Amino acid sequence: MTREVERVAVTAETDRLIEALAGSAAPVRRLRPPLVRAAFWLAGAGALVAAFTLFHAVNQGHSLRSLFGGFADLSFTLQWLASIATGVTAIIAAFELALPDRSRRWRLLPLPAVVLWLLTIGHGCLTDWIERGPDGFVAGHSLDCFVVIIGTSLPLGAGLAWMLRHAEAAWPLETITVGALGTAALSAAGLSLYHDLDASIMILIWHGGTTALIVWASRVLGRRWLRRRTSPRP
Amino acid sequence: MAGDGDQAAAFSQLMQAAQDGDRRAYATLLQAITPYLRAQVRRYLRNPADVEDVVQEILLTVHRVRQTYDPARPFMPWLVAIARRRVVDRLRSKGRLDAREVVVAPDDETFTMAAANTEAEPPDHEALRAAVAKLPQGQRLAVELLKFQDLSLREASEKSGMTVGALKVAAHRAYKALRAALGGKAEADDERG
Repeated sequence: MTREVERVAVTAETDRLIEALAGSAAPVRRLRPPLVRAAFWLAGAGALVAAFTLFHAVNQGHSLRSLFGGFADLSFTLQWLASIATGVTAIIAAFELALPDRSRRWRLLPLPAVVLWLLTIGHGCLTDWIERGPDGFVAGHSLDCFVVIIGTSLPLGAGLAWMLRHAEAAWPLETITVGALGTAALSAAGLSLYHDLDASIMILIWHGGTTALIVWASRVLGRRWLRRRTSPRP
Repeated sequence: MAGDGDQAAAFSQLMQAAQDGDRRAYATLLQAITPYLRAQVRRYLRNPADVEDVVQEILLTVHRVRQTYDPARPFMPWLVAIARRRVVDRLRSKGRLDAREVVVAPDDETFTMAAANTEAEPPDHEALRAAVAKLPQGQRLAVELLKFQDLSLREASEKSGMTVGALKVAAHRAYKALRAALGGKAEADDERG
């Protein structure tokens, strides 16, 4: 009997909630298709990374030719294209995963590009190791990479988070993970244009390591944020 | 089956109207999906209050992300994905709660000593008053000030003119005498200090 009374009481509460929601419902603008939104974000990110690159080049007195001089080297070109592909596919995956009715399999989209990226860096490391031995491990000014990748990823990530803010309805942790991977990979791609790291092992440590760190930190923070959101109300 | 399809199409149209700001269509839609959501949630949760709580969370999420529904796509997978997400969240937070906290029923034993869990006898005020009356003057004063008037040792000392030390001694002796007079285990308690 008590249970029945309780049930009726909470059901009435739900009816009141429906009334309140319907009463306050203003027209909404439907989201554009995820691919269009991803393209929009990527264009913005591209502009930001290009601006950073240009600023650094001018600041350090490099010409545009020196910026793109690396492309003469096939392994550099492959590595750069792989990191761009990782960024683009991961961002597309993030925009898809953020919608409730899209497949969770979208998270696998950046996988081939990530594997290619790691392979190209790994191959470079191996040849470096054979050529130079352990001398390749000099931290030197590559600490700057860390600062630059994080510094570029933060504004990119903030913009992405704002565009994907409704993702908690679907696959939030997956969205955060691929989104962080995308921003970090694009930041690393921009960085490699003006920051000449001559040893691939350092690229692995600073680009790969910083990307991994950003993804890990985003997951940890994201999980915490989600827990706070989903903990039962007192 | 065709009926389900018609219903889904109707839901889709209602949502489309709701996105355009039609409040009546929105209310109709939310009312129509609520029994379905309740039935879905009931498959995972037993407590009716929990079920209703999650149904409300689903409705709130639907409201918050209603701009993500694309009218060109079927409505039900969109709704089911949101509902499933909220159920998973609730099951996870329940799991975390169960792993960290132990709910102690109020009638469970709270102390290991059996005596601590026996029901207290109703206090015998007459016997206590008689026993206090029989105490020597200093001890009686100490009990009255410290226990009946609930004064601190310093306040009792100021009021009685006795030193704090003397009050403590008098009170200790008085409690021992009272315990003996009321049939308690004076000796055992005394040993414990």
